[in-house]
Amino acid sequence: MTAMRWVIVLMSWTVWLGGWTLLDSSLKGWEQNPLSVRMNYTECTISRTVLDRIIDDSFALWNAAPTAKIKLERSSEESTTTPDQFLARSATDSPLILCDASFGSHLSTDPDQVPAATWIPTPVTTLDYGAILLNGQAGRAAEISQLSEAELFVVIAHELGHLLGLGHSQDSAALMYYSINGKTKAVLSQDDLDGLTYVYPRNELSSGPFGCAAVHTSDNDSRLSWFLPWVLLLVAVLMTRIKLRPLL
Amino acid sequence: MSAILRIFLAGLLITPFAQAKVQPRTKNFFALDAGIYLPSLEQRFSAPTGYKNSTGPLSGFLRLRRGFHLGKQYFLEPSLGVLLPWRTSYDGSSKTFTTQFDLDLTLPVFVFLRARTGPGLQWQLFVPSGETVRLNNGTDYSYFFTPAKAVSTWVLTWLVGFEVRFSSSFSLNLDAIVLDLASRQRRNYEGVVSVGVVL
Ligand SMILES: [Zn+2]
Repeated sequence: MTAMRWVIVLMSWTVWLGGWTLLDSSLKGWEQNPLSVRMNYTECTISRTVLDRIIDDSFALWNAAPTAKIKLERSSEESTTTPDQFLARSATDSPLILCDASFGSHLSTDPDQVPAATWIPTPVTTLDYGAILLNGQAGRAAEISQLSEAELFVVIAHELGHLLGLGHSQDSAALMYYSINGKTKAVLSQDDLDGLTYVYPRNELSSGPFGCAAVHTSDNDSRLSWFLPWVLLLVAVLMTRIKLRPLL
Repeated sequence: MSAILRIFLAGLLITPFAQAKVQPRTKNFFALDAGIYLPSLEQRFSAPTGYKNSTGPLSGFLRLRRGFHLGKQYFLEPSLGVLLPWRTSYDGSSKTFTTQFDLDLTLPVFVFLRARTGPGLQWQLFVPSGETVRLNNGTDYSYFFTPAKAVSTWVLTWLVGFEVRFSSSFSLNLDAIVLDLASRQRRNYEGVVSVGVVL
């Protein structure tokens, strides 16, 4: 009996699932929409023109999801927050994308292997503080200037997924798959779209087609979401009984 | 594009033979359409080699369509369609149910070819499994989560389609459903190829 219990406990800890995941089971996405992201290029090892272009492409990729309401935009204002200030949680501007010359030691990770990381304080119940740190540690193998533009595009687009609240996916076709090996182009898979849509569900009935309401869905919205299909079904059933008189 | 275009052209080519049997539609009707739903049409055809499986999976589509005769050969056609089977995540733990509501105006191009267009609403219901997962983090392992709460999205759509009628009862439907028509960045095309039976 004891042995059996152990097996169950063990299995529940090692269960492997596929598909999109989130950083927390009760995660709420960023409230600002559009979400303006500021940059700090101070410690960057590649030109800001190139970086701006890659970041804009990555934003456009996530912004293209028709079922999600979040919209990312690059702030025209630059940030002066240093990696140290950010990690000490004293940054006043967030979210951020910044290069870090002490990437390896700051994140206790191997700067020869990891080109970028997303830093969000846990537990992540509501996303309101986070940054993408780019490896700006000169001379190291995974420093961003060592990557091709295409690779950096995949890396930044993947990190943006984390910044938006997504975890890793077991689906190797997904951009949120843990490894970018073999990926030469950033493409959102259905799995990525589903994850993003879950965190930022679009409801054109409550905010209107051009609405810019807060990202969070209120209880009223979700009640409407459950209620409406049944109303429509009722209308559909009623329609079967209606006979329209020819108009033309 | 070629696959859909080919089906469409094939449809057009065989219709003249069927034309003789087709009577103009002048009465209210019910139709059941069954076919294939192709999400993200643009990406499906433009995705680079090796990324084709990134696009949404093909699935079945079942639609009940009601035709209200407005006079002459014009019809108002409300319809309710569902994706069958529903979409599941990579391992089946998260399910997404898609329902498409439409209200189309249909008109004859020829007796055997009808065009339809109108607004619609796409409802997606996400039902994740509510589990904790230990996943590779590249250099280490981390815990990630699938939430338990169901979430809905409602997106306005616009449909443009054709119905190629083989007889009074059978037809081939080619429909394009456009999500977010107004936004160049978010505009997304889904395709439906279905066979319709007038009940
Ligand atoms: Zn990652």
